[in-house]
Amino acid sequence: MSTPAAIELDSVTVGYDRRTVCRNVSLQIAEGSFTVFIGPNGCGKSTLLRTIARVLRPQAGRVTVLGRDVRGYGRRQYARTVGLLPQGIEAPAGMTVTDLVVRGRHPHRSALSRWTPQDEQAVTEALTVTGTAEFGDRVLAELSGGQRQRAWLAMLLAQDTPVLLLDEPTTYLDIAHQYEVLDLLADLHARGRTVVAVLHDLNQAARFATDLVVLHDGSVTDTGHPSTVLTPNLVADVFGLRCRIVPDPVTGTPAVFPEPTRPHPSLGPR
Amino acid sequence: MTTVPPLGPALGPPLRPPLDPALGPGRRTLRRHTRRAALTCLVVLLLSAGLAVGALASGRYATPLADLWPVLTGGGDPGLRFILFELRLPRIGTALAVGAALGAAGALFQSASRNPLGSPDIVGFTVGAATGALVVLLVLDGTPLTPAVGTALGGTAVAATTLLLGGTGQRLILVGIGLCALLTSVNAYLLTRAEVTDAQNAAVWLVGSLNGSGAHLPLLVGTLTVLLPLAVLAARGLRLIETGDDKALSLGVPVRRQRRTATALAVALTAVGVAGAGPVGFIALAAPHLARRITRVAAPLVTTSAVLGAALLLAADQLAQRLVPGQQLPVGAVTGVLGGGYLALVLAWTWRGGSR
Repeated sequence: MSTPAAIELDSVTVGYDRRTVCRNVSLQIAEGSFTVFIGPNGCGKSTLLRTIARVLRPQAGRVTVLGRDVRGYGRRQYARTVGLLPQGIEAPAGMTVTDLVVRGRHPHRSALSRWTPQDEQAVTEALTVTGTAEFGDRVLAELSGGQRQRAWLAMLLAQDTPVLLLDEPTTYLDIAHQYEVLDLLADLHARGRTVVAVLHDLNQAARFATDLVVLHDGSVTDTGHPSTVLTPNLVADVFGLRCRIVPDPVTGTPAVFPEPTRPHPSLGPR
Repeated sequence: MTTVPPLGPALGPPLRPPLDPALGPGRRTLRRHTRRAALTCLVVLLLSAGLAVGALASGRYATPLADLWPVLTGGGDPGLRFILFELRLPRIGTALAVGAALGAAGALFQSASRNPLGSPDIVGFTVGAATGALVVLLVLDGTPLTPAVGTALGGTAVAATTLLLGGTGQRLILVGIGLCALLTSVNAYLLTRAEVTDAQNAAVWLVGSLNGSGAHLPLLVGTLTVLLPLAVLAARGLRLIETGDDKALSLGVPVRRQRRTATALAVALTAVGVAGAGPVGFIALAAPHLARRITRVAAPLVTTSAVLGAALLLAADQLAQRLVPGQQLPVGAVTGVLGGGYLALVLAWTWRGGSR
């Protein structure tokens, strides 16, 4: 591989309690890539992302981030390297946007240190880049889903990490807000961050990713550029959907269109 | 002519935010929160001081304020001296100390359980404390154990059991309810087996009372000076845990350890409060709740809750002494009625807010 790997998984097995979700996964995520995990529900996308975030501990195998075993990092040190936006996150009642974003600075502050100009700069920039500055003093619960998601993204940006992990950042957003969030991620990627996201929409994944990672039944089926990975055969094998793939009329990236389904035999002729 | 579409904020040129940190939104928010919390504490402290002076001056033998000063400075009438130093001051001090302990404990419990209704009561502390007192009074009568020690031990034992079985969240509350139901019947059985005078004595320990309290005041204050600063420290980690376990872990917070420490401290603080005045209800629930509402800061506010708890309990005790003429109600009865009303109000607000 030409670019060095930002994240490397070496025969990682991980799960919850006694249930193993991902078995023996090896994977390299290039530095400066926009990598998107795709796969049907329950295939282990979130589990893998949470393992990279060090929220879950692998049962076996090794995770390396920026050339170093993740177990070798201190807690705060790791939090200054890798940031995570978990799925379905909920804010405590009464919290304002700026209050949330300020908390993103936690790994950069020691117990006794005061609020520094660097902290302030990171917070101001995070609020501005995500367009949340204008409602910074409002309570999260009063905002729309899109605004709230941008506030969480601002908190993630204030953490100021070279690696960003996002678990379904567009779920529950209407379509304009989905693209708003994805454009923001593309912009962060263009500015040199390594972005790893779990996405449900294959067309969005193909449009924004530099690398796709296809997961099926807890193992990696395929990796590579969307134009080589996303084929009718793959979609049929992994998602069980017969489809045609044509170039997206706007970006030229592959776009998935399902074939019409036949009615169930028990329903009789149409 | 082609017009360039306006660039979204995300695509604009690299930003140069003002370098003066005093002007930024982050610093402004932090400063505003500190100011609101400090102002709330100050106002409530002044109110408590006023209440305390009022409590000193009144009672069965009303004392004009002008007579108070000579006594407090070391002179005055010996009879009045006895009333102030042996009866009223210890009682006021105990009310403040117990209220502070319960308020701080509630702030930690609410935050650690990520439940706005989380309080020592939901882990069965109060009922366990009552069982402890009853066992000491009715079963271990004649041993050097006092009911105060019994309540503290009983409450702690039940809380520890609930936490071990329940973990956190929904399951904790269900286990708490189960253990409460079990112990309530144990308590009722113990009372039916007791002599009438013993039962009457014990009943006071079931609701919490400051009547005749004050003997343990130095011990209470001593323990609080150790526990309260620790609670303030523990709350710092909890502020991040309130954004969710995964998020807090990814910010470098040792979530499990912090939660365990905070819960242990909350149990210890409750034990202190219960040993001082019996299981006084609702202070631990209402104080942190009010603290958040007044300051509008979404964080476990240990100091503000402690100050509010102290003021609330002192006020409730004064009310308990006056509500029925010629009779001293146990303070737990007053906090129970007031707290119950408050809880109903809060639920009504939350409901309306949720359906909007």
